[in-house]
Amino acid sequence: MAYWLQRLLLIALSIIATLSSIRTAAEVPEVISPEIDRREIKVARIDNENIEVGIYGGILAIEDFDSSNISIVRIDFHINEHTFIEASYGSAKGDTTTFEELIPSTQLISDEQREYTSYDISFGWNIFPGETWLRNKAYKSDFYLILGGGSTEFGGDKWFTWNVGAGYRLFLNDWLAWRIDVRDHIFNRDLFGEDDQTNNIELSSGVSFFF
Amino acid sequence: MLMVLLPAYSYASEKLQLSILEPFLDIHTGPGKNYPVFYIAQRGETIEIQKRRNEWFKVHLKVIGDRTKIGWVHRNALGLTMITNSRASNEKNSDDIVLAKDDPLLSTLFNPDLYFGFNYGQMSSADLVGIYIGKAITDSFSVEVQAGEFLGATAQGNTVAGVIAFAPFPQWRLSPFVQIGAGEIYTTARGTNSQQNAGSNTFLQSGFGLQLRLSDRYQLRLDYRHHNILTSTDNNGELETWHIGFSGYF
Repeated sequence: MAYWLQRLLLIALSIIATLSSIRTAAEVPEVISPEIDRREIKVARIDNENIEVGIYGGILAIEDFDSSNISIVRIDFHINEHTFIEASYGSAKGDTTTFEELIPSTQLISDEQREYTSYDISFGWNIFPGETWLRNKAYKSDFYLILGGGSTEFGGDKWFTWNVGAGYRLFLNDWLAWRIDVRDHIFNRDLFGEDDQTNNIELSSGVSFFF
Repeated sequence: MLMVLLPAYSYASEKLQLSILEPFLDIHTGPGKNYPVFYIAQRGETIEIQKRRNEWFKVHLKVIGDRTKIGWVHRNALGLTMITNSRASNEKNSDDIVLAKDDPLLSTLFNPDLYFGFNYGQMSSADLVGIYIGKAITDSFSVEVQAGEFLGATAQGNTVAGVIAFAPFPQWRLSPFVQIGAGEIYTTARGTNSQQNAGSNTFLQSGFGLQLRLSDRYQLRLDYRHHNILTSTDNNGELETWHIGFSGYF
């Protein structure tokens, strides 16, 4: 008998405890009040200088033709300190071939067909980033390698072109650099009948701006 | 461009100030780890961000004698600092430490969602060269614009397309993905071939591939795309392309 009395008391006790806990939960104010006050931060946007735009001039040796002047525009996206992606567009006018020079009255392709335009998208790797000392002052510099592909339009036709080269970039300050580049544009050309692999070496230099 | 990346504070003028929480912070002479460390800032000091070059930030640091040290700090080191702008007005929360890399105000600096890349490929016998730019919407979904040129023995032309890509396992280092989209193809016949296929056509595109995360900023990508070209004739054209590409997040 004492057993069921004990049980009854326990049940009653637990009911009271539950009720009281519900009451306290309802009455006691929240211990943690969320303070949702936004931090008022007004700061200027960070000037981002990952894009390099440059104008370059140089000499292009189109295979079988005399070398000619070339003007180039390049846009570089710098992913990080080691790598960049470069889009390059060059335009030149092919000179005469040796055959045309030896026999002056001949003309193998028309003047219009001598217009040379080439673009490529390449991967650049700053293999030796560092500093160059000039007159006791250190300037930032990169030596880089370039590999990519694109297309070349010349002689009234268009070809897929591989592009391989190297270059040197000297920062004159944070946003201005001087560059010197050597490139080889390799493509299979069937301008004179048979399919030839041609190597078209380009040497260029210019300034670029970072913004 | 950065207006898009950092809308949260694109309107204001005060430069971002960060307080150093780690015992030391290396300051380099240039934006690269090959440039020497010329100064070491200490915990409690405040740096002011001037500009950014990819993963490096140019900072100003006031030192004794009211001189200013100017140098470059890597993003990873910057992530362990804390924003201090307008802290005074919010004194009661000054015990809360929000690391810069976890701060929602700076999320685009530490988790870039825009990517740019280029690829090469094959379309039957033609060589392809292309570029693409995209934005990650979530970890799995991204939208992308693709443009390319193909140069073959018989036909040449350009393509431009917009796609949605889905990667079911974005956390995997080698992660598969699928993409669907639509675009336009402009074809010209080369040489003396017939003009039959010349002109511009709309296509629907589907594809799949694998992307390999080389680091947290680079991706190597191999993909296959199938194009259904919608022509005015009874027979729709089909094109299959293979691509290998490389992209970087910025």
